[in-house]
Amino acid sequence: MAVVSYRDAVRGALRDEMLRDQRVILMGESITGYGGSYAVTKGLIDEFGPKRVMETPIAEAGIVGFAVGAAMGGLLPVAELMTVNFALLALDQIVNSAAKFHYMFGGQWSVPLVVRTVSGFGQLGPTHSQTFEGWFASVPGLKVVMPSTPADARGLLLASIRDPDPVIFIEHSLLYSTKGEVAEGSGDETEEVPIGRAKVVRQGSDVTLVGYSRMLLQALQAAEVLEGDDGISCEVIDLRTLRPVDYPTVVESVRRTHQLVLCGEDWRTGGFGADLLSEMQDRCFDDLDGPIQRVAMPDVPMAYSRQLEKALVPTSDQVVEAVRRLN
Amino acid sequence: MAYQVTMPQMGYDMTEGSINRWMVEEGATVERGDVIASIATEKADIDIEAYASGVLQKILVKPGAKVPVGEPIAIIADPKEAGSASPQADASPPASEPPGEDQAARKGSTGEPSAEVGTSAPQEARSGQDGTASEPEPAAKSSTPVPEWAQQLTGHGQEPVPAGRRSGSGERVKASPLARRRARELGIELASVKATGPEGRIKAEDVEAASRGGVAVSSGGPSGPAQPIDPGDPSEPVHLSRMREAIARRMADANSTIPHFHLTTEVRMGALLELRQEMNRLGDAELPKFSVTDFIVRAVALTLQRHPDLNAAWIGQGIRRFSQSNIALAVALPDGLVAPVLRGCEALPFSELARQTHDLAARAKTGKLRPEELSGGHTAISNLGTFGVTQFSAIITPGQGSVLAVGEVREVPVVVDGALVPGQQMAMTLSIDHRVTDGAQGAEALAYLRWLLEHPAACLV
Repeated sequence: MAVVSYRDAVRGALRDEMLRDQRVILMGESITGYGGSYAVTKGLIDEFGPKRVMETPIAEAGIVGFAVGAAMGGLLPVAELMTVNFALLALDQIVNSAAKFHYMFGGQWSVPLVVRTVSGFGQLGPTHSQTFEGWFASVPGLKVVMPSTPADARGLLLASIRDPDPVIFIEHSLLYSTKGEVAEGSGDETEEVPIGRAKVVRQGSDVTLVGYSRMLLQALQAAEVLEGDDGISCEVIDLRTLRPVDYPTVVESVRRTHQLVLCGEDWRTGGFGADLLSEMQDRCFDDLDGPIQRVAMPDVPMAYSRQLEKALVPTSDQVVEAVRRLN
Repeated sequence: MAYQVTMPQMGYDMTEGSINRWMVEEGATVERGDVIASIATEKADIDIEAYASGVLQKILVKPGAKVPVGEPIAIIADPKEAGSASPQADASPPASEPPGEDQAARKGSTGEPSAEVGTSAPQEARSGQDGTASEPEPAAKSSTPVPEWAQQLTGHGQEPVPAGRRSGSGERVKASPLARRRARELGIELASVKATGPEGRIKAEDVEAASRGGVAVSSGGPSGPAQPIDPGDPSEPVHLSRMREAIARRMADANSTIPHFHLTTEVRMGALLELRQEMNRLGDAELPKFSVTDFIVRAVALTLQRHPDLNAAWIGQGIRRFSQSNIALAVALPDGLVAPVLRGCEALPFSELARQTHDLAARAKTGKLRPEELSGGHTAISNLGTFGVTQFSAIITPGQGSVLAVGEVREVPVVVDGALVPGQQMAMTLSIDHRVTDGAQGAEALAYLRWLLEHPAACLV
């Protein structure tokens, strides 16, 4: 085991898989020189050369369309979109091509594509601070993954590249510098973190907190506060995959704790948590000892102002408040 | 496609039932609506119907076995499936998605077989008329939460209302789904549970607390403390029938939570007995044979209208005042008792009241009462006069405000105008929940009740 950053864990997974499988190729904007907008692919051009690490124009629909074709043709492309905000330009290729071809052509074609992209904040303003995981998670034919730790980033990326279907792999800009223990890369199947499986990262008995990506860390912080200040024991579940959701793990937890708080940072209306809540109240109605709570982004465009952004982005404080509302 | 038949929930506090007998054998064809089994609840025997047509493929529960509400008790299969090995014989949804089962379970839980009750129309009509006679009282308007089970007492809901259902437009107790489930499982009335959750919501732990601190444990109810057994004193445990369990729980609850006070009076019954005899001599085959009880029911119904303080009960955290006179009649059975409820008594013609009273009593003795007939009383009448009891006091049923205990009619010397003459006297004791009203109000009501019985013509107008 080695302690590495989330950024290095993603890069390590890409590198190891490229070494292991010649079919893996990377493409994206500025992924060669700077190493992508968050320097994730830095250095890979030197090791693998321009045939496998391809610089593209600023044309997201083209990047994903190209990658879909490459995937159908037998390669395992990992396309990088600078941030999830720019993925909107590629939505048609993601939703109408990548997600559909296996179905539309009767299984004759698969699209083993990974679209790596980034969610996050940091005074980037209304058009560059958005979180769209719920949109992708609503599309049959896609898989949506959002790791919260370096170890899961590595394990889930390996699983995503090897998965026969298109995977939207959403990293988080505020997690790149976080560090954690990651297995030294052997790159074999034992390293994969399976898609579609949540993980109980903290055991508790009074309330279940479900988070993913950055909000998982916020939930863990909240659990510490609640245990110390309120004596409330929180079970924290890292959802890790948003499509397909591992409902059984969450249901099993709620059957013990009887209270549920869903922690997300996308907009409240129509956000991913809204759908999760709907399903959970249906599966757990008679086990719930209070209304399911949600932590979410207020329904407004993000401001440039540091203070306004601080007021909007969900934090562990809001998770603590949500739990206290239940008790 | 197969349907599960599940143990239905007949009434809010039913948590389990047992099978009396199966009316249909395995392999037999059933039509939707056919009676397939008789089940026993704490209170009554109920026939359950098939919710789907098909073949009764499998009986899962033998007669006599207790089954929790919602558990499957039988499987009804599509005839094609049951008969031969032809899967997907029709275009029905796949069995892995059980809309049929859900439907059956949900229908069961609303007490479907009891949905048709002939008394609903007159009751509703009457409560409209009563608007002028008895003004809505402040108590009735208060924001005190009233539980759905208690809303049955208003007579609006004809179906037994399972915990967790909203009944009509009334208020409801605020409780979490888990708290409702636990209350059902533990047989706890939510209205009696103190809420500690946010916004006054009852949480599961409140129900658990009520269960632990409740009377069932402390006062010798079903789970009362075990007494040390003297080995030199042979004894054996008695199997508790479902009815015995229910009586033990509810009476222990009532006796330890309701502050009773008792008012006794003597009634001169001569005029009533004479009038009754005259009515029964009319020889009209259309008329029922009138009993003393019929007169008492009528007189109590009128008293509740004249003295609305008494037509009320302590429910949840406050008083609920009623408009109709709904009267429960205690009927003794070999292994316990039941108290079927006659609703809207004040509105019934006397002969109809008598007919319904006799019908309820007869069906009580044969276990043929419908669940909704076993709740919703505002007061109760218990008559032990036929056993030679001269006078006694009864325990108020939770959800009701009072109970009238009636003794025998005795031939005794009475003083009339200073002279001793033979008289026919009957003692009765009105027990009242002191949280609801007080001695003077109770005494006034009892005096009016006595006046009615001593002037029986007033009962008939």
